[in-house]
Amino acid sequence: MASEIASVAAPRRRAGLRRLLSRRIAVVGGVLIVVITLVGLAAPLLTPYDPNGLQISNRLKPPSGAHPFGTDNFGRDVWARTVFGTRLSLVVGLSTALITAVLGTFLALLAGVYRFLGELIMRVMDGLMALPATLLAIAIMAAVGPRVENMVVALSLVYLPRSTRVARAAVLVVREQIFVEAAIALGAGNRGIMRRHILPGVLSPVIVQATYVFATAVLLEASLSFLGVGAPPEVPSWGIMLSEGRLLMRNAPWMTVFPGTLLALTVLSVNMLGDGLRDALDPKTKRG
Amino acid sequence: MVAYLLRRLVSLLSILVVVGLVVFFLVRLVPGDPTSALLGENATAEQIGALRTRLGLDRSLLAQFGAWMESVARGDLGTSIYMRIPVVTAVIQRIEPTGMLALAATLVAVLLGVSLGVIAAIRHNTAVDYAVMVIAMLGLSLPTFWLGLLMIMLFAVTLQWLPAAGYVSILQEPVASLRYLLMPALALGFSQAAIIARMTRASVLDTLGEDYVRTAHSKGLAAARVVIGHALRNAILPIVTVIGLSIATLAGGVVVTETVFNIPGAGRLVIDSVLRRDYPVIQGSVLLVAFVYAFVNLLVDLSYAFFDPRVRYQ
Repeated sequence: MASEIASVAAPRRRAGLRRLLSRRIAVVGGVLIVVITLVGLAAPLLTPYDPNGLQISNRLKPPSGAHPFGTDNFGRDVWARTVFGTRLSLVVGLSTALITAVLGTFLALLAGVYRFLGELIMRVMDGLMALPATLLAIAIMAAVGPRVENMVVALSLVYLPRSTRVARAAVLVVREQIFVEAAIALGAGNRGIMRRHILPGVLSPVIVQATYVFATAVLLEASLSFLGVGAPPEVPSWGIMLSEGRLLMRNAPWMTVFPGTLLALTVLSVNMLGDGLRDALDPKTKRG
Repeated sequence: MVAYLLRRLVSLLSILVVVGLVVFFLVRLVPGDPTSALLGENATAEQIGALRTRLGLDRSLLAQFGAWMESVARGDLGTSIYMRIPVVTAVIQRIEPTGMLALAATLVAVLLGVSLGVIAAIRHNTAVDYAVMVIAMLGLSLPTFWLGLLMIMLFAVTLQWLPAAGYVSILQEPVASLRYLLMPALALGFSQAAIIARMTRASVLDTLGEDYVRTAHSKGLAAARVVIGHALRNAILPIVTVIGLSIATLAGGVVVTETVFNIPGAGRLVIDSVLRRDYPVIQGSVLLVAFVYAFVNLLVDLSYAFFDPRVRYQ
């Protein structure tokens, strides 16, 4: 029976992939995000400069052959800092998306099995949701200090309630399906039903939600670093670069334009991929 | 209706207790003792002990939380360590710029978002529709603070049309105040406009296919009246919900936008307090914002009946 299910599931998955590839917007987004990831991974190969290498004699130089994105107020190469900055954004965005998706799904399944616990979990999530994301993240960072790990924890806590809600809504829908009733009638245990019958139905909305968490986490990381409560100063971060560029906008606009463009491009490509995924995984949404 | 309202107010209270717990324990997470911040490093053990007793830090965590919630319920959010004034006073002093910015940004978001969404829906699957969707996608992806910086570069530095940064009270110089507000409101409102435009488009597209819209057209009503009076009117609830949700994002965006445009508002106060480790101010202002946000959400829910008389609260 398991192989039969697999043989039905495989073409369905392929159909989903085909639908995804038929959406030009998703393909463009996906290709862009792959390129940006490669840039982040290959950062040391793409520039001869150390992103933190100070060279005071070379400060505030406009873009040139040697420094394609110019240099900043400490003489650091803006191109080197921009490509190395990709790493922080992607690591923070990806970790936050993964943690919230896994933990949110787990909590939603837990809430689906144990009603009282479910009520409690959802009330706590409501309370966390009552705090605007940026403000909660700032408050957490103020308490735990500027470190990359702390930022992942803070952003995960901020987006966990949203992911849990999405997964919870899906659990509630799938739980009422006839095949779940049949599984109960056949004497399947709670855990088995959750893992084998409900979890697969919850995955699509969770994956789509995860892409949005990815995009907003990248944005929020940059905002926190811009405000001085995010990444520590020694880590190349687009947010920190933009906050330094802000003070020198008149003399060195390249300090603001380049890292900002890459930040916007990253968020844009993840959002495009997310929109395409949503359409591909949910056949009900109309095209157009 | 009354029963609904009461139930909502009770759930509002439970949310605030959870928020209070989160905020309370967040500050307890901070390594070190608040007494060292108040007394400095050279305090004697006796001084520290006396202050701990005075601040109630020697009591159990539960007792401390109870005492704190009690004073919060009385409207006492503590005293700023740095400014030595009550937190409530500090926030009220900064509330005008923040309120004006939030209001102006919401106005931009709603006007821009709803009109773009309606236009895209009417011109479904045309170049206009695609253009609006591209603008909306950009709005979702452009960081608010970067957009603000680019606007300063263009409109203040290059073209010199608008002041680059700062704030003038609307009560003192209304015209100048609006000139100062325009760029921050546009920068902050744009991303919200994108979300509202997408929802408006989807929602109006649904109602445009309804029979009553065709009837309205066939009885000879002007196209504008059909769209505004029939299609948009019936599509309004999800749009209002999204506007309500966007207020939370706005509250966060205010902090960043105030920094970009050097606006001396409550958001700036939060950031300054973080940098000064002024925990009572962080704690108090986060709690205040959560309260305002929860209250606004309640108002949004209650406004459904105003927009759609079929809505009944049970």
